[in-house]
Amino acid sequence: MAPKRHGESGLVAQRPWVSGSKRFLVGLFMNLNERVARPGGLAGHAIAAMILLLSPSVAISQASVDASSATNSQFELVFWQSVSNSDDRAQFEAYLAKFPTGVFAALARAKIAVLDRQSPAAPKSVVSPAALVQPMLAPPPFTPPPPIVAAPAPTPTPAASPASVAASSSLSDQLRALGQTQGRRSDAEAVAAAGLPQRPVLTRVSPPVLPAQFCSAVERNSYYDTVYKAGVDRAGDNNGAAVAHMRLLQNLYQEAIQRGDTRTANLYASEAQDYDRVAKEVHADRSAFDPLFNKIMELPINTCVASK
Amino acid sequence: MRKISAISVALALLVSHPASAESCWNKDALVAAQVRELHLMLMTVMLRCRAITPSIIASYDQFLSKQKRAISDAETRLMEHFGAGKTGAGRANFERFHTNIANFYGIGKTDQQSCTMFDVVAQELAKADATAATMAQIAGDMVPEPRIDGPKCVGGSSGRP
Repeated sequence: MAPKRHGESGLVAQRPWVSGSKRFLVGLFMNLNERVARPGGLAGHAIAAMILLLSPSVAISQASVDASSATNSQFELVFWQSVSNSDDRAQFEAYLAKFPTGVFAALARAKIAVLDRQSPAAPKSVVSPAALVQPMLAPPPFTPPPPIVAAPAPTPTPAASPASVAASSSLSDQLRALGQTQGRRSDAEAVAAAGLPQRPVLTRVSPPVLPAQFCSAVERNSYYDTVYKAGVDRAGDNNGAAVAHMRLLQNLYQEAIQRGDTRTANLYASEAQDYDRVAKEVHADRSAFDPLFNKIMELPINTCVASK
Repeated sequence: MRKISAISVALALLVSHPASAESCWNKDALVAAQVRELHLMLMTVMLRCRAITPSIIASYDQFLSKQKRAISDAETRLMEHFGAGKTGAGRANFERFHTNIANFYGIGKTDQQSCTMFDVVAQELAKADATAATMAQIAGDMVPEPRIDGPKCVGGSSGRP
């Protein structure tokens, strides 16, 4: 059956991509990488979404869809598919609440306008997004990572790269996530299924005990290089790794929220809360070095008598 | 000088299952378990979702029809694994395997979005060109760790000659 063709002029009258979209989504399950986009016959927005799903890099340039939408495109697609045939204004508002800048946002608004025209007496009250989206358990408070304190030492603390926490969302991952929404899972199973990221390996370091004096400037400089700076670097690495881990959990949490997986989101939030203790400890480790720099510089340099 | 202390790494919790009398699970048996579990998952989801997404009933029926052979083959393979005849301990374990899965999937997310996605999965598996390999692939994705008792065979070796 050939896909439905819809008018090119204006979006208001369109009821785009009902059965065709479902077929296309189904087709994604097989030979995902081998399929070729065949956009002919579908409305522009549907084409954009199809290209987005098949080749995100192309879609970003051709369909002017931002990269972040690609992550949830299939979920958005299914969401849209589930409401696109409806005459219920609230369902389109629900779509807009969940995907305010989604591929089908314009269509949803157009559909709402049509419905409003058809039912002029219908209330046009603005419904808060919170009331429209599906009920969701409030996640535990997500503790932000501790701030990175600028180091007085010559070497600044590097910030974690956001690129390192970029997440993939392949079809297999999404199928796996879908499967995980079912079943009577214990917390341990849920944690294992959610794939909590492994915590970074940290080698804790404590500030050194300063000597009473230095026998020479050379000795002080050597102490600075081998003891103080080495400790600062290690503590800074720990702090950076902890912050990166917290950011990773934050991103994973947000992704889980976006795909409506509240349970997994809560697991990430719980892990973040638990790991926050570690993050604060390594941050304290790093901060403990801050006052040492001046103290080292203030230590007296006296001529020492050889003890040997 | 300086104190260096190492902290342990938190490892993901792994679910362990008690060993059973059956031989180890080889690759074919594992795939059969995944296929069977996906089948039961779809069945229970269909039962919960039919009021929300009525189309899932037809999709599920079409899936059953299309994948009848794959499901039957999986069952046969599982019976081999459990050594299940019409009666006896092997049969009891075989039945228990299914009961546990069905009980496990007695609950799950049941909203419009999830139901629609499962509908799509069922439709995919009911497609004309969907093969047993398609079923196995999707089962592998959706049930990466089937709910089995007993060890997996090392290196995917055959658990039952």
